[in-house]
Amino acid sequence: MSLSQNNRSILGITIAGLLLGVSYPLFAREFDSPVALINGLSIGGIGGLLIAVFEIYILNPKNRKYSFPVIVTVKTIFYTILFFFLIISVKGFVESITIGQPFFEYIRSDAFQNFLWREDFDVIMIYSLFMVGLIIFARQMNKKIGQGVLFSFITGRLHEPVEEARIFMFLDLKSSTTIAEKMGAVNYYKLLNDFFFDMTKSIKEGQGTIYRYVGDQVVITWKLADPRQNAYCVKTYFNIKRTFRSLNEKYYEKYGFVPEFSAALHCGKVIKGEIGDIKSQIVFHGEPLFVTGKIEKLCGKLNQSLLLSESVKDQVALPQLFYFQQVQYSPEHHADDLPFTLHTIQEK
Amino acid sequence: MSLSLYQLRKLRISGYLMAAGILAGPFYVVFSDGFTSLFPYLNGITAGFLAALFIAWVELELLSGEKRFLKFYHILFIRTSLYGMVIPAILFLIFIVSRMIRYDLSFSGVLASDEFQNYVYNQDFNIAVAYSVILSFIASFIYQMSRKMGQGVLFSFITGRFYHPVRDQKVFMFVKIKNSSGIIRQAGHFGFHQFLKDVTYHIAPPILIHHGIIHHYVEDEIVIYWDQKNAFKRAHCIRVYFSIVSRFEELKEAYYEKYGFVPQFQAAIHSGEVIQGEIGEVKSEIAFYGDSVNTTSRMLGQCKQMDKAILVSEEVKNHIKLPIVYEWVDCGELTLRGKGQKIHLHSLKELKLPVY
Repeated sequence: MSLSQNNRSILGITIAGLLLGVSYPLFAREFDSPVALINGLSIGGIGGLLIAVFEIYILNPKNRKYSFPVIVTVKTIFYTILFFFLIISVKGFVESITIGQPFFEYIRSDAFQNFLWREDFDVIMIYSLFMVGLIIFARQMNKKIGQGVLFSFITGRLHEPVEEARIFMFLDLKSSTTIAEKMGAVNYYKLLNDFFFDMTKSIKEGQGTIYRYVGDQVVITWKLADPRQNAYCVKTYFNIKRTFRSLNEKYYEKYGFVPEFSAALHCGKVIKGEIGDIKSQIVFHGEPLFVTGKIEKLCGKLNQSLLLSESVKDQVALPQLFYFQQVQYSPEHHADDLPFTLHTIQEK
Repeated sequence: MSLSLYQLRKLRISGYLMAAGILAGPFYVVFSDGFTSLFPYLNGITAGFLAALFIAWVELELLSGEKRFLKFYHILFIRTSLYGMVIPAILFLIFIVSRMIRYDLSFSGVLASDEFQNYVYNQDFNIAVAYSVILSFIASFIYQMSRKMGQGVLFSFITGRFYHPVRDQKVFMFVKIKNSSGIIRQAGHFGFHQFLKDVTYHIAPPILIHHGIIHHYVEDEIVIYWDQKNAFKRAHCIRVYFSIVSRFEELKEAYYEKYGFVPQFQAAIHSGEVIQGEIGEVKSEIAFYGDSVNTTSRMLGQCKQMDKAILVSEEVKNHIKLPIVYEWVDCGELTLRGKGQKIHLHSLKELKLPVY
């Protein structure tokens, strides 16, 4: 079940490649020939796998350096060369086996030369590149629009709202208003962008969904499940903390200070649905969101970097080496009459 | 007058679609027939143009409005059957009419000719159909996505326009539903969600008419912005508020029936320099940073304190030539919460003009 995020994307892209590869001979009226189907399948499958590996491991920028036209040019050239050789070798390999001729002899033969120059090699090339473009586009959009949002938008399944039990984590950059005033809007934007970028990996690994960014705050959410699964929300927090500890020097050099953050966790039932016409959003509504916001405010006042509500504590099985500690707070801190006790987590 | 602006938007989108169609048509010819003669290109262009026209009609007219909330399978069925039938028909017609003109044949003459029979049964007619139907789906998919993501967002994502932050002058308007906590208490979170869904749906046309761009929804707030030029021209950023109010005045009965109350709005309008940039690796957003955004938000808080329906800052007021039915109401200079500087605020009132 627990395929990592990357492996799941690789699997998805490869399957898409297989489907697109096999659909070419179908509409090119070659469905009577099994060789064409095998060619389509292998070009699609291998091509899909290569696209996935290249997009995820090699062409995945660690920071935003290149402008759009540069990326498009580089990728077009790259994939043209890749598919040029891929199509020739797959076609040559498969056909040489069916005919029973050695590979290079078949490549030099008239039949193959004919295919290259006169028949539909160019159509296959254009088709492949077009599909590569489509895969990359869909992948980028899916990422940008948010986890699972594209699917909901396409199917319209959240036109009717549903009720769900969820864990929410509000994660704030500490004392960000003072920082913002000191460093100016552009640098502040860059800081936030780095801050969000650097925590994304931990969130994805922790199976959390980013709900939205509000100023300097990220709202992350998990579906409520069994206590062991729920522990991911706590793990994610500690992973993010570890990430930023290792990045201290980078931030200090770039912005002159080390970012610190605080997090509030709470869970409960919320309504999930799609609103808006010209601009649509998948939104959550419910008491838990208000309460999490209030707990987050208390983080600053009580000088705690992690606060959990009683209801989250009951739902989470902590990994060993960690334990809950109740946080005492005086009535003056909760003018909004929070009805429950708060906890933090300590490492043994 | 206002209707024509709304139509203008549809025309613009149809224009984009047709441009795409006119490009996609000859593209097919390039990779199927090559550059041998001019004749297939004319057919390609015509087919692309007509198909785009049809897609524009389906997406903008047929599947607009409340129909977008139909079940996924229904919409998929409608799209598949429409595109699957009409687009092959278009290709057929173009083929026949072009032969009728070229070889001076009658309609049935073309149908009976060997060339036609050959084309349909042995040549690439099915590829042409598959190509155009697939492209139609891609076009409608991109249109729908771009619509869901908000005005200009898809384009900015694709081109990476805000990869690096951009400094610009914008006008912001924060609109808030009055007494939302009361609504939640009365209707519950589920009811509030339905209510918000209706409100965000009905508020869109007046905003579009006045060239506003919906930035996002945060709880019970709607954030709208303009380029300064568009906002100040014909007092759009002020008139939009009254447009919204009168739109909901029209819908009053429907809301009473469904919820037992009518939405009321408070709005704050301010203008200034902001940084616009794309943020977030997953779930990216085009976000705004800057003092003027915070100020607008504080002004909205002030609306509640002063019990004003609309507050406009001096910076905006100075650029606006107000229609004669409205009048400025001075609210004086005051210091907003968390802000050092004083800000001069104004409200508006609508004059009751005598009717002759």
